Amino acid sequence: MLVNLFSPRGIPADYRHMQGFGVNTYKWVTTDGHTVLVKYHWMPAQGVSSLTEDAAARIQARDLGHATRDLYDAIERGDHPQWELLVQMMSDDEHPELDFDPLDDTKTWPENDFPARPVGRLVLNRMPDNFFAENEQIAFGTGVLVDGLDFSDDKMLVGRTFSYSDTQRFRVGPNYLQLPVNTARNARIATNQRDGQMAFHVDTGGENPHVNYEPSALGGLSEAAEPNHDEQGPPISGRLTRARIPRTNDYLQAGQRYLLMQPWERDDLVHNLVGALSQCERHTQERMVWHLLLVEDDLGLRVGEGLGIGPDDVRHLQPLPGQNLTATDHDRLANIGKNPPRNVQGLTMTHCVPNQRAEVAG
Amino acid sequence: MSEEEQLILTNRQGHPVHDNQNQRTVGPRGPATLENYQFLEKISHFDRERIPERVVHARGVTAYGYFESYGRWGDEPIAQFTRAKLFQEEGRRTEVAARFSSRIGGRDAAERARDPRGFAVKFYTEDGNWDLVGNNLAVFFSRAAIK
Repeated sequence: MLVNLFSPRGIPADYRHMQGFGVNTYKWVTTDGHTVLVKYHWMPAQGVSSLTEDAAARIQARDLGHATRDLYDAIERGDHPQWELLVQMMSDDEHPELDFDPLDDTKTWPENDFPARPVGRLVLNRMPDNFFAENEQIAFGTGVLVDGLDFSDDKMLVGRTFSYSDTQRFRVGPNYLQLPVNTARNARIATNQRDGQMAFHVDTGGENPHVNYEPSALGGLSEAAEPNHDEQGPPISGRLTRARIPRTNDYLQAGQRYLLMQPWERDDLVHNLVGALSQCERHTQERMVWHLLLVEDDLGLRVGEGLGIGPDDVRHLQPLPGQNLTATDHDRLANIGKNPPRNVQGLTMTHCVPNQRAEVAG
Repeated sequence: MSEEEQLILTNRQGHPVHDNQNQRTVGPRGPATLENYQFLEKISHFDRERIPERVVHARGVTAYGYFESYGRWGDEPIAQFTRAKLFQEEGRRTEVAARFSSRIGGRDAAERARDPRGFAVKFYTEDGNWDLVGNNLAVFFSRAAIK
């Protein structure tokens, strides 16, 4: 993530020229209950374009809302932005053969093994009439899925699913789902939920408006039919614990990501890391150079050079408490600063599409 | 436009507002009165215009459009992987709202910040809403929600 964030992709040129990712792993479910793990990716038809720190500073000098204005202007002139939705898929199990955990949201799935295939496209063609009602009060949540889509056991996804809807109840109010921008406008809504602050209307009831419970012989709402399978997914077993996942593999994909960058992105990443780390104390700088050498020696050497810290200055550092290093990580540590580049032959990753450098007049 | 057709300013109780410029006072120089409902309603609503901003992703923008399904995953019929209705038929359109955002800054922060961007899409499907809430960088910093 840091390797992405401090690269130019940490400052997209605007919202139309960036990719989108579902990030977490979800599931798809068929009519007969067969499940697969999936990841979602949005690919902009406009292409990807990003800013260097200097170009971004020139924008900020005259405009604090350039990305919002860009979207308004494009839609107003009929230049409707589009994204294609791509989906990666793998069978619904633990995949012990992989060097990462498919439920780990700090990892991507290599496209050469798990191709990202298109399923549809998104077109944006209208701006809100009222920014508060439709942008400030719009409320999203990762738990909001429809039939045929499901959760995976990604721990972060489960945590997000509680937090998003919880914060909407605090921020907008317990009846936030009655607001026009949030209501399921194309579905029929009929709950037995009543009251609460700012209840705007009573949800549709059954035949008898006085019955707000279920089941009832007096004509209230009744349950929908079950899907035609009553169980799905692989069996799960384990003892209660608080533990990291075993396959953290923290450095491999960061190193691969660095090597798959365009040269201008690599240069900008090094420049930005040196700039940010220059503000830190020496022990933080040394630890970060140690991490970056583990990511990819070239990255660690270049950032280290900018900070005046070489491999010999950090060779003595021990792994952080609780950190899981792979056998490869240990080999790389023993040879710190002198490891050959990682092999990225044939590797493709969805977030490594060409990135155009956005130029801004001074 | 005749006088009857003119759009008259009212308060939220539907009362016409005859003077939107001056408070009610005892004489033109005051003191001001507190029984002036129209003034109280106006200032009290103004005092409550802001709601708590989002803890993260406060700075953002929403736009509307549609999602058009291909009916396939690549070349294969999508029904063999999911029964979700919105994906099933080629050309089927679902209304959407998308919200883009930056993460750390407040509601009026500069949009150029070095920061992950939020990329959230709400699909208004016939089976109810689907929210796909992600970012532009493909991964997160942390893999456990408690962190």
